[in-house]
Amino acid sequence: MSKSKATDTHLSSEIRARRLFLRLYSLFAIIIVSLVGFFYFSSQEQLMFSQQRIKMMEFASIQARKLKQLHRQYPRDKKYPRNDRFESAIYDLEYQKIFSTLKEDSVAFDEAIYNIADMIHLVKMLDDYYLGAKYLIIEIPLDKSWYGAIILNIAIYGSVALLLLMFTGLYLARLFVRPMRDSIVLLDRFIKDTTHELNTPLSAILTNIEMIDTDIIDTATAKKLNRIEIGARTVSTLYDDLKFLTLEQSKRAENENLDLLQIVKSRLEYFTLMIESKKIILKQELNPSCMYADRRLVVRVIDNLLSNAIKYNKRGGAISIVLQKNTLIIEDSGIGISREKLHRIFDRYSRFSGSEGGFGIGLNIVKVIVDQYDIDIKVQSELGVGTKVVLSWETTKGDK
Amino acid sequence: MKTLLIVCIFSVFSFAADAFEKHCVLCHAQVNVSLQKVFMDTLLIYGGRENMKVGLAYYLRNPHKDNSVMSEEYINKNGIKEAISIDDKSLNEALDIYWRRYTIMGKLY
Repeated sequence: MSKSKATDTHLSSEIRARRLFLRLYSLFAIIIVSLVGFFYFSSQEQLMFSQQRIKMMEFASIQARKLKQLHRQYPRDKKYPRNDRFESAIYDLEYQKIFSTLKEDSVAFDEAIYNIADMIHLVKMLDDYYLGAKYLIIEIPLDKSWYGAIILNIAIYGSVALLLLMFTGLYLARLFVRPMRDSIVLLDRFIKDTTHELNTPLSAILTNIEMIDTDIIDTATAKKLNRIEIGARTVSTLYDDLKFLTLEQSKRAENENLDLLQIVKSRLEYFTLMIESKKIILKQELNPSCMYADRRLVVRVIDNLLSNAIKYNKRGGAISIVLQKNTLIIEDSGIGISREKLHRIFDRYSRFSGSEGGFGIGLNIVKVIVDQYDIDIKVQSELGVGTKVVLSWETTKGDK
Repeated sequence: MKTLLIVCIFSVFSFAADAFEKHCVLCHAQVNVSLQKVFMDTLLIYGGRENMKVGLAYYLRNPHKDNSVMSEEYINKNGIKEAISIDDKSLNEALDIYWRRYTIMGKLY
């Protein structure tokens, strides 16, 4: 799995929560505005119909009188009465058409007045069946200027309402995620303060361990000393990560041509004690490779990947390191990460195992650095089998 | 002579005419009541084809001044007709022909 450069690794849970809230809020806002628009349109349509109804009822009375006359004169007169102001049709009580001049022939007998294909139909039930007609349909054209004005009103007021709702939504989203932001800021501040306090005692421990002459102490004490050194180096790696996050992240990178073979060897040596203590089999395939980058940052990437490969490996497991031109592969036989959690591995404070300590910042730092140098990172992992991290980069003009 | 003519007409209708001619036209010719006029009066009350057929069939089987379409003046002068005694099939056929012959549908322009 690879993550794009655009991925915002900083406070991503807050951003996710805000996006989810805004998405839901927008959906509801659109539904509400649409419903209000629909009801407004319906009420205006009813108003228009009630105005037209009065006029059409007059037309119906005129037509009914003429039908009565024709009924009396039939069969001497067989000409259906017509009027310039409206069209009409007559149907019997079995909905059979007797005669029609309608432009839109489809009739809804169960409605009193309705709009169909730019026409308005009024359905009037006759008391006497002149010419056998039970239903008299009056048809007039629909005034489209009314329709346009209503749609324009809905579009303008709907857009304004939607905008207001969206601004309210943004304000509410900020309000809702504020506790989450506050807790993350608090955690950042705590780590920053703690980092300052770690430096001096940690340096003292590591310096003093190195100063002890291992030749004059017995084996049991030497073993204990090894364990102290492993613990101190673990804390030292953690300290370097915290220092990077809180103090050095904003520092300008000092790029140079790096001999990765030498760096990888040096970092493996640094972690040797930890590898040996877990009886991990180390497989190396190291070839010359270079990169134009800041040594300090590249060391952080390698340290974090190696540290994870050791920390989450089983006792007697294996780690394979392959360094080739423009590629670094670190593979372990550790606990692995489930497919569902794999997409969150670069999120800060995300931890996937309760068995080991840590802040969940290592891979976040890796991601920030690899993004900075356009290094592609792919992570393949299977729960209970292990994890494989592949770093690959293009040769830049600064490279040797 | 008149009796002979009626007998002749009756004989012709009995052997050659359809149910409507046989059971309706002959009697209406005798009482001089226009079948077109009766159709329009019946249509005014019953409306559609099926409703009209049911209404007319009931009247012909059970004639009464309350269910007659004729004017009160006519009924007072000529009385109510006698109940018809033909089978249902012939009556139904006669009424169908009556509707087809005098219906307004398709005749207006």
